[in-house]
Amino acid sequence: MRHLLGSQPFLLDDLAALRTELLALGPDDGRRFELWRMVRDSARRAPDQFGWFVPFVAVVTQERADIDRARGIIDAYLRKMEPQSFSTGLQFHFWCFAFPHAKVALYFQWLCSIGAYTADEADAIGQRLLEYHFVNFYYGMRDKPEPECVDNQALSLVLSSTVVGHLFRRTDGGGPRMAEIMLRDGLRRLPGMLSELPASGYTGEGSDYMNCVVAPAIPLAVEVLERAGGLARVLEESIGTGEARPVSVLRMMARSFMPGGLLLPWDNYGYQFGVRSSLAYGAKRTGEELFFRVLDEEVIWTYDIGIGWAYDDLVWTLIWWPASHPLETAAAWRDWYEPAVGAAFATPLGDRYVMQMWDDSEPVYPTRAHVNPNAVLLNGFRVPLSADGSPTEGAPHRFQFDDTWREVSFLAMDSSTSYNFGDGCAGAHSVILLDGAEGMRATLDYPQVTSTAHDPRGWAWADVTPVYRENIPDVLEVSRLTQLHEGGIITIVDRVRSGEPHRVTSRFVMRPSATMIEGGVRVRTAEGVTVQIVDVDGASDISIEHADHVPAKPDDGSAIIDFSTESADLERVFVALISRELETDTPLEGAQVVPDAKGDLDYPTAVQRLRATDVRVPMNLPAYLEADLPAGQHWWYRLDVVKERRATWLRLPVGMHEARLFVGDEEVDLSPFRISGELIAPRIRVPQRFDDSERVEVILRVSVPRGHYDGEGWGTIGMTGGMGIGYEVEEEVIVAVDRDGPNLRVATTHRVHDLTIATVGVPPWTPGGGQ
Amino acid sequence: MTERALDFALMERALTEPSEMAALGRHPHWRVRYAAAIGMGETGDPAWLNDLRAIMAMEEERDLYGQPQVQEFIGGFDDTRAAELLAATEAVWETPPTPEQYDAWQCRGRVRQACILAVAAIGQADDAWRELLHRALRDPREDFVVKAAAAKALQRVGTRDSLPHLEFAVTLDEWCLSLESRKAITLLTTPETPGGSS
Repeated sequence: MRHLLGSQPFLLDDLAALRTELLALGPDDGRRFELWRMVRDSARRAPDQFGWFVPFVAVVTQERADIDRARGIIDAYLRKMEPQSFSTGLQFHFWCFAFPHAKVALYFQWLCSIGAYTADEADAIGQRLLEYHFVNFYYGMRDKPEPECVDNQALSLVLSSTVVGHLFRRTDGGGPRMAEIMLRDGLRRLPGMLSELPASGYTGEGSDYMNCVVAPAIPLAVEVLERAGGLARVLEESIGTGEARPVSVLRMMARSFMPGGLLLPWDNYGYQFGVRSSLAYGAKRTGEELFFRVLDEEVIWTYDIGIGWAYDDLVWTLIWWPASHPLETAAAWRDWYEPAVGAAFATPLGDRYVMQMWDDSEPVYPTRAHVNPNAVLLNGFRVPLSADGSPTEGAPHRFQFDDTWREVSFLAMDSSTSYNFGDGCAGAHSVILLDGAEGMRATLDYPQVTSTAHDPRGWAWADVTPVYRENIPDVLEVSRLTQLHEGGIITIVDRVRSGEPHRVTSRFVMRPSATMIEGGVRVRTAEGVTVQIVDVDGASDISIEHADHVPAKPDDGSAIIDFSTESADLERVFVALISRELETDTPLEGAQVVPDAKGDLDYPTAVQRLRATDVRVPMNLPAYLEADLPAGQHWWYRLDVVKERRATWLRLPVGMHEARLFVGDEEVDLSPFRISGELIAPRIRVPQRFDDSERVEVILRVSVPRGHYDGEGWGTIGMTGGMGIGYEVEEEVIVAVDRDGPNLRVATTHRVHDLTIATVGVPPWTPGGGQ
Repeated sequence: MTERALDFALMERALTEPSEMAALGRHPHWRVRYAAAIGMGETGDPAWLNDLRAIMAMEEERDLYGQPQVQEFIGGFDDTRAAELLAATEAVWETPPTPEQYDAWQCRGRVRQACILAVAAIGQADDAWRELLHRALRDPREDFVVKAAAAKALQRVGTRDSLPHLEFAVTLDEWCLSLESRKAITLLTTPETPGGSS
């Protein structure tokens, strides 16, 4: 067959240049070298565990051993295809399998392009991959209503059918007909998949789907349409009947990174790390500062986060690595505002961050697009303060309302599944609640936002009355104004007007450990970051309730903080001050490391070996990816820490499994960080008896994932972030708040903040105007 | 030529050779029948309606949805986690399925969907076909993919008699089916559309 199998590797325009660049990289080339080394070494040392890296490495090095490993990976996939047919996953969730199948087909084409297969082998394997897609995923694509279905599932099916059709059709136009049909139908639907996305670029499915499916599909879809579809400027322009431009998806994906690298936990699933390849593509294609800055400052560089149900994010990051940095421009590069979605503001260093959302929820069953009208999220010193996201799987929780159970029968064979979508309703979010209606949701499809306003100097306002009015007909206005002031203080102004008095609650769902303070509450995270939230007028009843298992991460629970009053006309003003008790930013470098091949080394033996070894690593990746060490799962580290003679804290890496910490032979309990440590670096108090010491020996025992799959489908974070040391700092504490109309004077232990709440551009509030 | 390569060749012929489509639509291998049904739909020719119904009849004689579940996937998973694996897996059955069950597991509603979407593409149907489509909407054992295809076909070939079946389908909690059914109802109750009220 004269098809693409023997031609240039599809989507790798200039393989020779890419090879030259990557193979010439050395330690002086920084992150790109480290990334290439990690991908290459993973593929070589544990190809079965890092299969998604293997074909790319073979295509770059073109060394026989790498090619043989890549052939082995393709062969393993081919041997998986038939048994996979008997899984309920493939039969009922075919979109999850379509995208990775297309990726395998693409990598197979790359390998063919470098002569890894004979023509007969290529034909036989190509036919199997093509027929499998036609039978399983073209079938799936045709299930999705055209043109109405525009979501991650349809995008996966349409894009993968287009790619596979393009790869296996003959270049002389002589079939195979299966490929031609899939390419034809894929190219017909793909423009609509992009242009019918919301114009904001946010699909409402939460950060997980935005990062792991929708945004990673955009670069491939754009490139495929420009190469196979004969279109131009697909990224920048709308190419269908809708208004959306694909670049908007990439921007929203980049905006979903909060300071510290965790994604906005909105709508579903909760906090997690974000992917890198879509950022690299955005940077390369647009040159916009946002993409460069997030890539430089917020992402993690360990393996690995799935994109389109495949763990090849780092491969595509290398392929789309942007060549040059733009000039640094805006200090407020983290700030954004989308009229249909929300807004976020941050101080220049990202130490204080607030986001307000007003994206529409999904009527009837708010499983993905949650009911979070005007919910706010707070983040301080690169640590999340708010809580949002999915509950712990299988665990009972307080948001399982009697009327929010749903039974579905289309997700598995001969069985139905029952789940409760109460955690998607209003009560599980930091919103205004009326009469305690935690299960509030929309039952009809209507615009859920009446109007919004914004000022780039730091405030956003939105009126989200409709969903409240559907549930309580006499409601006239429910709105919120969030403002980040110079100096980092945040104000939140809630307004409610209604025909009759209602119990009006401003709810904040925060990470656990909340306590009452004068006029409000103080939340302290396990990492020593604090926020004080004060009701300026002090007219509310305040309650704190602990909610188990909601959300699952980072703490398997949250603090539900309610400020409540009975009123028909209410304006409630909050001051939020983010501060911290600890500063652990000073890195500790050069940890000695020894492997623990069987995971059974005892402490004395490990320490003895550690003291004798010359192998030192920065602890930004599992040790076997930082030094010439065997691929292993269990490691011991040692640091001889020089410290100040006072109370001391250690910052540990993120993503450690089965970690044990010893300081001066004393084991320190890490169990409080068992869950949060997956996402946020634990801060550990060095035992008090060492406060007056100038040095301590720190021993850390860690297990790391063996490859892509240890996360069992939820991604696998292979230890990152290194270690740091720090000490107590004086927390800034609110002493007094005085209000005179829009003017606030906030006196703290550190200074006096004179603030003015925005009024220009915000619809005026008239006390008593509710009738 | 291996059996798999032969099937591929036959599927290609089923998609491209009208003179062979009828015969290939009766082929013992379901993938070939699947391709034949799609090939017939591609022609848009109502002359294929009887052959498509014959293919449907073959499928109705099979137990498409009653096969045993896999007990364990060695090296793999039964759910969507399997999608990410680049590793050979092995399905372990409590009771090994018969060849017919094994075949049906992989096929399920694929051939039926292909036949029904061919009818949708052709845009014509007789009462017997409409009855098949209505039954697909009502049958509690039928795959939702097939039901959605039936609702889509009724957008072009339905009549007012289809409305109760479509209204029933709207109540079933599956988005694609519900949307296709609502589209069909709108079309069938809008004047000046085929099958629409006048």
